[in-house]
Amino acid sequence: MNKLLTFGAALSLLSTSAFASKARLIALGENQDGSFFIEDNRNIFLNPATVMSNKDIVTMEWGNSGNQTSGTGSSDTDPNSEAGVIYSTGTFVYGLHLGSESKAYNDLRFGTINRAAAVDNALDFFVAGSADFNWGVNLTYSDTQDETATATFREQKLMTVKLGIQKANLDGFLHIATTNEADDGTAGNKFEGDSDFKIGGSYQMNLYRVYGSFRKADYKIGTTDNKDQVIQIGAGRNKKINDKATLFSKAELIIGEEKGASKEKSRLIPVSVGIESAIKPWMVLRGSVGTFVLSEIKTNGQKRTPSNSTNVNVGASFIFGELNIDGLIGTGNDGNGAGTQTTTTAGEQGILSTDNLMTRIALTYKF
Amino acid sequence: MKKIFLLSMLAVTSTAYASKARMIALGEDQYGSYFIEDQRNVFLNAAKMHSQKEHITFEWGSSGATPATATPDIDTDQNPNAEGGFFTTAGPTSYGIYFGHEDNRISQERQLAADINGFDHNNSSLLDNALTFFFGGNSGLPWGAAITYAKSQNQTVAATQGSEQKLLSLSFGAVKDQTEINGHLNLINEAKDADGDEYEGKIGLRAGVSHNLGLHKVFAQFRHSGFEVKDATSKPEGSFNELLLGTGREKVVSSNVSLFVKVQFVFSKQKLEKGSGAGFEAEKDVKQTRIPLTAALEAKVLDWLVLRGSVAHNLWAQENNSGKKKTLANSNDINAGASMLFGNFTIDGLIGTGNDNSGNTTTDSSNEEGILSTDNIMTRVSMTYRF
Repeated sequence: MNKLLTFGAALSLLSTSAFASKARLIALGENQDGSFFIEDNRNIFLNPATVMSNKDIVTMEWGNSGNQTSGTGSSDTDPNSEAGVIYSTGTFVYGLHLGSESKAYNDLRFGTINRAAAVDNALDFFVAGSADFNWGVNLTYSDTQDETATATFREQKLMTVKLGIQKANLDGFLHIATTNEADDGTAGNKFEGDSDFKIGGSYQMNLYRVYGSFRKADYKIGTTDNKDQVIQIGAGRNKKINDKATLFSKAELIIGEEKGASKEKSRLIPVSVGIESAIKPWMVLRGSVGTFVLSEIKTNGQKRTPSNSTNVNVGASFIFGELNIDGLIGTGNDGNGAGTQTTTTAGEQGILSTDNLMTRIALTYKF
Repeated sequence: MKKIFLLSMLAVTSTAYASKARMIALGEDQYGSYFIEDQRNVFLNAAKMHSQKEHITFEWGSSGATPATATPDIDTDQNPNAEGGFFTTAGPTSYGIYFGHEDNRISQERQLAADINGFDHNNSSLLDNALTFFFGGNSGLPWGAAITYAKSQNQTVAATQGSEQKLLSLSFGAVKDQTEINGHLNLINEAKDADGDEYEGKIGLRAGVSHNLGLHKVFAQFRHSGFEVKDATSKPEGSFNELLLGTGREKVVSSNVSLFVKVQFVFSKQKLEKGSGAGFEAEKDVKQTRIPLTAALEAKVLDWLVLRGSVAHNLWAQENNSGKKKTLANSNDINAGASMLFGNFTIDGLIGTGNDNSGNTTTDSSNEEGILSTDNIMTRVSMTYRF
């Protein structure tokens, strides 16, 4: 009976979305900054209104100090550290998150710019409430500089406002980057963001959650004007297989266009299936496989398909009462886990390493 | 009654397995077995999806072949490619979708073309982004079909400019009482390298049959693939033929242990014409005759742990390369593996594959050094969840 109770407690933990990690979303084939159809605390970065269903929680993503190197930035094999707390008081919920150095905004800068001018020391403030519907606001602020030597000169600034609402089966969000500037000191590399917004939402339609978003970003690198836009539409499904396991599946269409020094058009159709199951009262396993089908990228008129697009990700969570430890597994090939790999792809060699059992670890405490 | 119960328990247990690692550890190849039940058998006989329905499986590994590298980067024990899929049922029909089943045999056939005509068999012309749909019915006569489609191209990198490949294939199978049949046909199999040389697959087929005689299963398979390579000056042809005859037996030794024994006769023939351009290699006419004997054991040693291993040895193995004969050396091969059972999850892998506590080295042959590494306890790991 005790075992049943404990297991039941673990399952109730599963169902109340105590999970809050990049590792979990990646293992299920989703974007680390939120999913349209899988409940996770990381969704607060996609739609701040989801703070209302992810409150009273502390999250920590283990990793190094941040982006101030010339490497490939935060990745599964070299993650950056970040952490946050969300706390409810009365009718409002407040949150503070440290070090969420957004990939979405960094990626715009890194066409040419050195990673030294990446988003750094980022602060995210959240406030959310509930009236007839849930609402949430997220403000991001990041401002760093180094003028001490020409070789190490850098400065960057990012300010964003994210708004979100949730009502019944419908939700929506708007992201606006009010400031996005970076300079690594190299002539012609100065990045100046102009208008940059993303609008999106989702709706639960019977078994499926259908969703869509549109992002438009105008910016200048050196003297070159750039215009990017991405349309994403998709449908995802959570299917409860039994009281311990959920099957996830999704299909998306992503149409992108970039106009700048070069022109690129893309049509991507990612599809994936994933599974998550509590296998012990203290352990959850999950995994996913995804690929791109009928996809094409055309750069300056030259076509290519996304190569090697089939990707398997696997992860686990250890549950110690209110404390969860999440991570990816199968990412290391030399007995040292993924952290020693020099490239992101070298980590996945189909090996179950007991030395470094999990990588991209996150710790979550729900209070 | 007890025996029946135990046997039925074994049957239930065996349906959880679905991995290349298990097949390899039992001395089979990764494309399925004619006499050992495993989900991988859907790639041999699509009708097998009815006995292994409702599961999701992931083969861990890297994303796939790296384009534009000179050495073909196919799926190996040391460097496996990621793949996985999902199978379910709707009434009497079963269906499934599988991502990334990039069949080495297709890539290797294209590699043969590289031997005769300077065809750049770099990774751009390897099978990539494969998508396989399974569909089958089970009203009286279980049958199944699978369609695989793979297309990739790259015009953007100088080293691969213009390279592209495409595959469309159809597989089918049926089970009638103690007899199983399977077939495979390549409808489109073409590739183009960066120099504009073109590989064009002609007839590519596989046909197989097995029959359960009670204690033994007997089986036969024929595989043929033909191709031609076009360049500016010549259009040489090549072909590969393989005939396989064998018998295998699974003996349930106890409630937790099964013994597997198999003996095969394998005859294969590669024929490659000489091209006319400069630098083309001489023609090839290679015949191989092998009689491999395999013995394997699988035992559930704990509630959550299954161990297995196999030894294979060529009783006869000779190659005739344009009249020059040689014995195929070092034919003894031992593989071992394990499965960890966590509820409906099964995690399979090979063990004993690492010689430096890594489970992975840069050369394939140096991996098996008789070491049980607890650092990287399993390699070529897969994870399967059975609904």
